[in-house]
Amino acid sequence: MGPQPRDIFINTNNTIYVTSQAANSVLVWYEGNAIPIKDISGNISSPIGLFVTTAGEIYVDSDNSTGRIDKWRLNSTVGISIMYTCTKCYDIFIDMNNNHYCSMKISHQIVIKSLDVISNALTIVAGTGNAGSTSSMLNGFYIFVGVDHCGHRYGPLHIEMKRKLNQMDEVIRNITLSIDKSNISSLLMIIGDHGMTQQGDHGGDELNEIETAMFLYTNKPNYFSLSNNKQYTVSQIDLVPTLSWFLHTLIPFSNIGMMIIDIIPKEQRYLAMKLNFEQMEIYLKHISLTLQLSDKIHELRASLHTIFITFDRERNLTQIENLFNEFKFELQTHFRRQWSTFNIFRIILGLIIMLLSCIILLFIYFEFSKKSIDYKNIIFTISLTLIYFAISFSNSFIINEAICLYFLIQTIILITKMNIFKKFLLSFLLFLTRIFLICREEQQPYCIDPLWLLSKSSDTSHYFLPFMASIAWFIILILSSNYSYISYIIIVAYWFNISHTLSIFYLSVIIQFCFVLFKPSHIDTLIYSILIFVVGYRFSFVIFLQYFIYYIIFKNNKNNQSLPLLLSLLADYFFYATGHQPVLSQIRWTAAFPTINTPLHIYLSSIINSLFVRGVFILIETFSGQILNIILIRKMIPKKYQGNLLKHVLIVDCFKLLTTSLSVFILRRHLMLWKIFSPRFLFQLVGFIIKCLFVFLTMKLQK
Amino acid sequence: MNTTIGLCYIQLILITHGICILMGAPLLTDIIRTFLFSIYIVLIGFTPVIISLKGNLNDIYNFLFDNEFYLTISKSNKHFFMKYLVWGTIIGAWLGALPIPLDWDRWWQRWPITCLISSTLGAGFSVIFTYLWLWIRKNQKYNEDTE
Repeated sequence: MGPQPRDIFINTNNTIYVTSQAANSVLVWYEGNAIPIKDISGNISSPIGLFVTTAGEIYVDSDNSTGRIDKWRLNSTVGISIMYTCTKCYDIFIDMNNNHYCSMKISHQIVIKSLDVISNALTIVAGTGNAGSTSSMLNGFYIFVGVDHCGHRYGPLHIEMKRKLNQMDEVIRNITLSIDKSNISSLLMIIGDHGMTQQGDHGGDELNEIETAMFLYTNKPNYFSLSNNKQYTVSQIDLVPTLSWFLHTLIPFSNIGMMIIDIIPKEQRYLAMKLNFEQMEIYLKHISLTLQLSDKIHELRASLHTIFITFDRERNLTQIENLFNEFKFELQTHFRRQWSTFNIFRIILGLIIMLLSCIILLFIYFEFSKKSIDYKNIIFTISLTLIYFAISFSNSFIINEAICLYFLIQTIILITKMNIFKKFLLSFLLFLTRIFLICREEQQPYCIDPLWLLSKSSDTSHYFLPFMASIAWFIILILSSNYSYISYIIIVAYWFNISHTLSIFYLSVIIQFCFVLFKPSHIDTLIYSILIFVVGYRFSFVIFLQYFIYYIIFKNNKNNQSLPLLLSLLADYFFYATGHQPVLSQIRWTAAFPTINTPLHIYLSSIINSLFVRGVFILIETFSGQILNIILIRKMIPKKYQGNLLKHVLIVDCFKLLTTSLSVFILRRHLMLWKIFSPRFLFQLVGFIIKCLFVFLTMKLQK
Repeated sequence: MNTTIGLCYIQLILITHGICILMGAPLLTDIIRTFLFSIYIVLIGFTPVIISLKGNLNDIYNFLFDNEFYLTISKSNKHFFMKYLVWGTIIGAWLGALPIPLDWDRWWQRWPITCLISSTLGAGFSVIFTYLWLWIRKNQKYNEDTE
């Protein structure tokens, strides 16, 4: 039977399944045989619980330290992980509704996971987490999962939704019946977190999305004494103090909801309101420095102060409740007006000013060439420009914006008239830059960052990458006839972990900066010196590829119609290709804080450690794509064409910024506004400002 | 001549496969799907061009991109149909890549499916469009001649 058999299951065909914990396998016997026909092992480790469905699928708990339930078919060699629990499942059961039950010995609980749900949320159906033998109901929170997923997938009017709602109805009925039977007075509160539209989505501001139901049930007689029969609306923030009261915990410091008085027992109401008011007083004192409160609120606050805190006047409970509710209404309306309403007038005014300036730029700077207008080229350029602008209106395109920009750039490269070998070389170089894209949080399951791209603090062991990067930089410096060799040598020494090099580097940067102040035509040496430090050896290859891509594009450029669009797209794309994403959590702070601490002279360190210098380093690192775009335009194109080209590129960028702002305005009620759209807008804005700044700074740049 | 045409087919299929990968198709996974997609594109769009230009890759390139050599030759209707068929297929396949990143979770949003459908539609519409355009031009010319 195998060493240490833990669980046995016999199915309707009289096939016997046994888990063998020490042998890490499941043994299967047919009826009548003494020899097992199958020994299923694989990544099973110390299995205990076992269940076999009528379809012949074997569910076994198969992880040594934490709980993991795998599903195996009889003839397969690998198991599929279905469910993750916190501790090992000592027994497993699967019911007709496809709910998985796992009995966890160590935490004294039984959990259930529904197959409707893709997430890993588990629901505790029994057990308090403490060992014991009473069968009391659990005091706490349960989550009924699956309704939201069914709604998203099928919509609220589908028959699957009906099945799910019937299931929920059954559960609620069972709970209320058992509350009735027990003699402990209990209060059941069922609340939803949001509604759904006709398509089953939520996140906007339609009425049926932001309204949801609350169901209360108690077995204490005469508990609810609502005097009026009209429909009752409460805000979700008011649940915070109410639930804190019922669970005997303190109300959180920054809570801005107020107790739902009508569901608190009459004898506890005064105390509950007093507690809530005291908490609000503390919080309001804290925020009154930043937020103005209206006079009505002050007056109500003062009178509530006399009731609860200084006990000056006695009133009866109904009057106190009315005053409390009035205060709640005024305060929350005031907060809503201040914090969650947009000032539409100002936004539209700003957008109109931006639009006017873009149109004025267009008419001043856009010269219609005197040659015959090539319709096909113009249609092509304009349609690609429109697609480029339309990217910022959809969250799934913004998440994949790096690939979208790559797609547009490849289209332009493959269509324009160039020597065919040059075309394919350029395309291939751009293909190589795809290695350096990093993943966003929203791309997590299907996108994995390559290991060598992310820097860890203890990766000083291999010197291959710094060696290749130093060769790449050497080639760049020679080809662009740059004179920042000293910084190059110092930084290469820094990459090879030779100590005390950074202080020399900072000194050299300061000297170069003073030199540039007198001779602004050498600003690119300063930029290259800073770039080689902040970009680091991993992304030096991208700078190398960038240099060659721009070189091939500018080499023999036959007055291309779509060149401004191509340059604007390239500048935007190389923001992504140098390993950035327009999310605040992925700003690369390591550019300003090098990993090796070298002791610095005291005056030097006060300059280096200042916010300004560190901020400049991070800005240069994040927007190196835009900066290199401008520098390489200045250096590789003859002076007489530079002005025109830069004006056209800036026109495209102005319109891109305008459409990004427009998209943020239109989607201001979108669910992902603060996570996707407005960080994208911020990064676009700062990139544009830096680009304009560098157009001015590099005006005197020599070829 | 048949061998040159066959060779030209194979070369064009490989080139299309390479271009799909350059434009963003997955490199190491789904190789057969990308290959079948390129076979489909070449079969639908490029067959008239390959056969009428007798399998000469250089000629095909110049013909498609309107390079100077072909501007001097009088443009017969056949040339218009062939050229716009190729461009219709390519533009259709390009537009078909647009719905792929969207998060609708539909079964048809996987890699070659939308591109296949849209390239077929592009090929079909290009024939209709060329026919209408030539018909309008013929009527215009007729009107000019009779005025």
